[in-house]
Amino acid sequence: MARSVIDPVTRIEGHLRVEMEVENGVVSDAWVSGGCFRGMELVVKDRTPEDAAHIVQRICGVCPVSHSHAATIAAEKAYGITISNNARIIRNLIEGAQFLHSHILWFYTLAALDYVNPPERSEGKRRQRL
Amino acid sequence: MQLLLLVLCAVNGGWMGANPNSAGALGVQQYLKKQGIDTPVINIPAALLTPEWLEAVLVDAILVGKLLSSPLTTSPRSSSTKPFTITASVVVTSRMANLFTHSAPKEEAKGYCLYPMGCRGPQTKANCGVVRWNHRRSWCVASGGPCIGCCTANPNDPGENWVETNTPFRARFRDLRIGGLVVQPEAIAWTLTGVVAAALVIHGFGMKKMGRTDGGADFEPIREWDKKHPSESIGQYDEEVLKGGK
Repeated sequence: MARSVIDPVTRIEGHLRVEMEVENGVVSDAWVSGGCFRGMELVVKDRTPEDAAHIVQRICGVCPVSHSHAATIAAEKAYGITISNNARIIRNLIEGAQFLHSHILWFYTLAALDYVNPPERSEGKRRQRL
Repeated sequence: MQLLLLVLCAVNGGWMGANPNSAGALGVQQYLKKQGIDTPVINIPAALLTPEWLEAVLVDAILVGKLLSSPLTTSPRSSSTKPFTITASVVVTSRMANLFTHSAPKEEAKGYCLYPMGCRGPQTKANCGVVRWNHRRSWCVASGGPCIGCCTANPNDPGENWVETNTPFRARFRDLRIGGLVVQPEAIAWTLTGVVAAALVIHGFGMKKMGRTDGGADFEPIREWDKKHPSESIGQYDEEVLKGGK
């Protein structure tokens, strides 16, 4: 039984570690863990909820708005605030824009290299030209 | 060898380096210093980076070749790092306060300013106001959001990060953090006032106890003016007063 470790797993937002047990070329067991500790909860502690909404955006560059949104909702629940319908619509529009941005960013910078091989592509083009 | 750093977190640890910094985050410059590696570092302190900014620094570095004198460059090799200045070749940094007229002319004409809401524009050095975001569409202040100063960095203090410096973002009143202790300027002012007042009271009691206040200051038996003008004198002090005096 061989043990295989991939650490860090790249081209995802954050860092991931995957441990696998391989038996006869087949993965029999696997463990996935996020090993990057940044201490967001502790940084936000003792600061105002307004600040938290701005700080937690920086958790992730692919989905910053969602984190800010979540922090805002949490603060509103804590204070018992109900937002107006217009505010809800604006937030949902921003969230929708964030969906678009996030998908494009994820696809082109993180995932595209799994589907496209730039060196191969350029070689193919050169062959075509020849 | 030159090191080019892009994101704010690599400059000074970013929000991870903010108190209590439980992850032990360091900027690359700090890390290199700690490890004793002597390499010049270009810091671009932007939590988000515009392509224009990166290009400006690259143009500055490659074409103009004035890397070490560029405003955002800090070199561990020389102890005297240059403060933020606007280079002649590429305007990398500029004070946002001067740029309101270019970004939001209507609001500027109406006299709106976000500074009382805690806008960090005037003290933040970034090119957001010139370059703007999303293909020169808008930037935080133009859309009515006070700047939170996410481009904060200090070449002379590589550990200074934007969260630590600028929170609370929506107030001009700021937390002062001494180690793990969070204090407000007002608390310090009241503490100092209290200490001074208490010291004065203790001083008063001490003087009383030492007997140095007993009887007060020396009395003159006759007023100086009365001495010179006996005809206009209003008379001697009372006997009681003179008994108390010396």
